[in-house]
Amino acid sequence: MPVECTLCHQRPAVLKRPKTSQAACKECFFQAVETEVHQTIVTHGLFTRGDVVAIGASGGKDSTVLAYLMKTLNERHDYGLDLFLLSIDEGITGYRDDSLETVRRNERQYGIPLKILSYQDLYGWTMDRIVATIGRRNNCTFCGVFRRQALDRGAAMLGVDKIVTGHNADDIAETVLMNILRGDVARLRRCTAITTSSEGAIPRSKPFKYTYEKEIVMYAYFKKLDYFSTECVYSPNAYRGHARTYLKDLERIRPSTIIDIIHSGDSLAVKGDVKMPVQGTCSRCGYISSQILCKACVLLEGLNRGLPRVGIGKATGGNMSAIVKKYGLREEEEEEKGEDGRRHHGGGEGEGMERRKGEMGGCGSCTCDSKKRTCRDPSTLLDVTRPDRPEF
Amino acid sequence: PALINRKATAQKEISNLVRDFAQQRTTLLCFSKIILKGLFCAVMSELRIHLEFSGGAELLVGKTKHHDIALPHQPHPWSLRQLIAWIRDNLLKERAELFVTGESVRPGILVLVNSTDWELLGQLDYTLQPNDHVIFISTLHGG
Repeated sequence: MPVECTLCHQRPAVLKRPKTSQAACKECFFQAVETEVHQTIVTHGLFTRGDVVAIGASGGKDSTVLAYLMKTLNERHDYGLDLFLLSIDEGITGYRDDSLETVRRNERQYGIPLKILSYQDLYGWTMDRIVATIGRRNNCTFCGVFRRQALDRGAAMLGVDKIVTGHNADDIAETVLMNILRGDVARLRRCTAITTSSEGAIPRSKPFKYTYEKEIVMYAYFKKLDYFSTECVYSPNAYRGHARTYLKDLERIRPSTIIDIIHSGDSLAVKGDVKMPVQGTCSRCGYISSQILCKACVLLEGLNRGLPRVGIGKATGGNMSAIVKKYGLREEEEEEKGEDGRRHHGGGEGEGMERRKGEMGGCGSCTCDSKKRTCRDPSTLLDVTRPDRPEF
Repeated sequence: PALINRKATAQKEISNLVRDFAQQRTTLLCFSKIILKGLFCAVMSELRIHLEFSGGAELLVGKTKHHDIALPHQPHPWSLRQLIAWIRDNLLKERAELFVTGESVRPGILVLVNSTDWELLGQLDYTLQPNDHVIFISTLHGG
């Protein structure tokens, strides 16, 4: 006995909306999703007429539905926007190259022009090479940091006014949980903002902030939208996976949890006496940063000098002034130290990498013999030429 | 010579008869097999349904999205709960924990029967009907 749609009372229902627990038929469901996204856009004033908008497209379910909806709503409600698809190629074989095919199909299907940027062109490193260098932990840090910059640079090259990404309610709820679990108060305060913007950077917004992932998948299924769906091969070790598993279990018990977590995140205020980082710009590349050097520059520097763990974890991640001293400000001495550092690591890299693969430890930054991930003496982390460091 | 002719004719006739008889017997056998099988099926029916896996779930079942399966007969009607257990035991080539949790699917995998959300049909308690189309869509991947 088919259930009747609670919205129109005419057609049989095809799904139960998690947000409202209502049974909805196909047409009412489409209308509900489209209306809610339209309301989100209008209420938060995400766009102005004549904006050039880049849609961050990966070929996955969120970005495909986003491209479809942006195009549909732009025409239906006459936003007057100029739309582009912007795609980033991280250089992950078997994952990204397949999904880019999907984006090219989207370009043809929806008639939105596409631009692709690759890590290889921007940074000289592909994710495959990065993972081969640093091992399977913390790759997502590299990928995420580089991708954000890549999106911004691509958007700047296209001359766009706004960027939109397909982050949905589930993603934002996971981020709130993650930031609580990791004590990242600065991000916690920012992460539920529907538009993230700061001076000099192109604003990026998330029209799907209140749209459940289940609804996006169902929308794509019923509308027969074509998307690519495989897990990134490096993601099983990502921290976000834990938050996601927990969130999915919670959603099963009480579906409104996701929206409620976002509401909690929106309502959080940080106490006055908590020290918060001040946003400035990177002294090397001019990108927005709360430190002297932006994270991407630090990571790249580490990669290029054969010290891939610089910038990862608490010891070196936070001690930016010390890093800058060693790598940034003192040019001449830096040359020598760089050379020595490389020589030292020539012998150590191989063994260090093997140890990383077996996850046995060995200090990640100076590759000394420490049993822990970072050896106890922070100063040794940065000075690779100390003569009393154990040789391999 | 006349005798030989008669013998030859007789032999031909005999072989014709034998052939006809054999044909009839084969036909009869085939026919009866069909009747018996039909009867057999009616009494002890297997349940034919169509399964589809997408959103990445197909990788767990040999990278094949579509499966036509016949569930063996059993006294009680097949429920979705039992179907999931059957899939775990018969179709999942690897990493069963990525598909099932306990007696249900992993949270994050959507189930639709005949293009209808299983939450409207009683979830695990839904009784399968012949030729049902059950699709499992995984949402556990990047967007």
